[in-house]
Amino acid sequence: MPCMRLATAASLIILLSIVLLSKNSYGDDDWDSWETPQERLIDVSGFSQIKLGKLLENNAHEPIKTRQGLLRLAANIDENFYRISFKNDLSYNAISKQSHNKVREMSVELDFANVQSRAINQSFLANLSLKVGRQSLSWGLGDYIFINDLFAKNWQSFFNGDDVQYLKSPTDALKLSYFMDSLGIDVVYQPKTSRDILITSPSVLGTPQRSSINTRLHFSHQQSDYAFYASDGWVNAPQRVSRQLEYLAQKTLGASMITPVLTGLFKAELGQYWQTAANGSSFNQQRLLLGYEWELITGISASTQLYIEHDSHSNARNNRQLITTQLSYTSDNALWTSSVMAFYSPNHSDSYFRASATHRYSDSVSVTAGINNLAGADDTFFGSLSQTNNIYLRFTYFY
Amino acid sequence: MKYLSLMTLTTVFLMSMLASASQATPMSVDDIIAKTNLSAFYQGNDALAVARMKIIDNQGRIQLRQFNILRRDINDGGDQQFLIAFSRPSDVKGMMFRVEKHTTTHDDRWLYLPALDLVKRISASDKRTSFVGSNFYYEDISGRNTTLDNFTLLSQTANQYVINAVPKDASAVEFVSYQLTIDKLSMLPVKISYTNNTGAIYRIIEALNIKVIDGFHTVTSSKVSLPLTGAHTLMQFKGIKYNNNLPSSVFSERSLRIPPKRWFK
Repeated sequence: MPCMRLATAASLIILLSIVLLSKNSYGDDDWDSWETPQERLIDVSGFSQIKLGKLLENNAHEPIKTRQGLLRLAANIDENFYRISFKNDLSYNAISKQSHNKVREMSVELDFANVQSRAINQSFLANLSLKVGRQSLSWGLGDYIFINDLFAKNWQSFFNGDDVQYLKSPTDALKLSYFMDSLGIDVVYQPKTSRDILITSPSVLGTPQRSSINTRLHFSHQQSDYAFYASDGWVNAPQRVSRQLEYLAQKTLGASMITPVLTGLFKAELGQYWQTAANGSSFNQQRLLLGYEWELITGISASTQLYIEHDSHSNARNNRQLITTQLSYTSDNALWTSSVMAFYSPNHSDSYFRASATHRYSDSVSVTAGINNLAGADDTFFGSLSQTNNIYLRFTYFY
Repeated sequence: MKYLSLMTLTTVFLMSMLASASQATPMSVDDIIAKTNLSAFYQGNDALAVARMKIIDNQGRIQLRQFNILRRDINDGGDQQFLIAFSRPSDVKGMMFRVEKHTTTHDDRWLYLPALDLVKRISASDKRTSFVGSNFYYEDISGRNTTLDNFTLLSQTANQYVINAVPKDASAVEFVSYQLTIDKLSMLPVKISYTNNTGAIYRIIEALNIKVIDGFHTVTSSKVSLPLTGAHTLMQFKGIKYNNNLPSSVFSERSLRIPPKRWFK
């Protein structure tokens, strides 16, 4: 614990130093003259947030209410060739009276295409970029359904009303990208595979100590985007193997495509998983996602997804099927946005309803209210999380 | 030989007379619209600029947007590529927006959300929706397809054309007609007034400042106002440069995830 406090204090000192040493990049320039602001070494931005929440289920193990304060500080040093990024979240829970500091990003990105050198621009280096350090990573096409995006998720944040950006748990990785005309290749290497942050912390046999590697090849042809994926690593969440939870080794292959159809977008993604337990037993799984998204009327978009898993070993809760529908609304002045999304599994009979509305009061202030409601039998995915049903209210001040 | 030379001279003279006569022929309304479309949206082979908008709603509340914009023409009057990098306000900073504009089918649009490192393709098919919360529509920024309306020349002065436009498919748009005032020197629209189904002018776009940049007449300041509500948006451009030889590879997923900063300076 003293180490934790020391780390928090050190982070605070670093953050305050950055604030004091840099000018706010978001100063009010004069509209009429629009003078070019002085170049700054460090660009600072962020937000302060207060979240009030209430659990809808009476759970003796969890506090009924949430009162949380969050301070985000982001600092960037941004030059043509490189970018150094730092993002830190300092949170305080007023119910448990505990503070928590988390570095969400600390990375260096190099992009040779941005070097103003004819020699480099004409060499293979111009096709190369790399990013090393703590970073958020996403790819794939599903809306909150992940087949080939195997990077760690924070399910606690997703289900408890945090901003959706917190669904992505930061990953310590090296990302190497190489581009040739319309074709690109990404390789992500994690020395130690990141794990999902789950609602509960079950006791698990071992941890995924081994490294993992995720690759993607992507290209566009005419109006369609295509991608192929392969990975060798670990499942981010523990799986039950003969009464014991453990992190399985996993290899995957996958593909995705998205293309305009009629007035909307049709997407398809599939994946093949090969998983191996510590005792040598192995499992296979196929995953398929089909989806369509279109603008229903001006300002309102609708989307629907069909998702199917097929497992090599059958039990009551395998071969999961899922249907999702979503309606999203953005007002003409973009000051109001809202989204309603429903997940329902026809074969497991569990469901998840997720709704939120945001009012952007000004460039600096926004208010979000939302609800998360999960239902189903205790041994289903959503049903097992129904104790987290909640409503929440978030006030955010951006600077 | 002398006879032949005289014939040649006479022919050249007559041809040049004919050429002069054709130049003096007034342009048809469709020619005016085609030329205006090129002047307003297709100057040079490509362009880059920094843009900012001041959005004032009907209650007087102010919002600001600032972004770098890159544009590359695939062919004049036809398809184009756009890349937009937002730098303010704070909550949209780092967000990238890419558009492949098509004149014969729906545009392709991609959005990059930096907090999630997520590239998302957007299905919006209606081009007459707000551009990033402003009173400008996407179509105002990238240009309305000239084949969608019927045009009539109402009047002209020594300096301006006044043209009325009526949509061919009235159900696809919120206006009944619009009136364009085009400056003859720059061939740029200096005022566009939209009329709704009650006969009221409810939307006006004005060019507030036109400069000659790299030899091209360019609107550097414009305003869209909604007279019935009082809301309006001001837009300004600076750092405009034409014909930068922007490679097509700049308009790709790579640039969404890693902004092509060398073109933003």
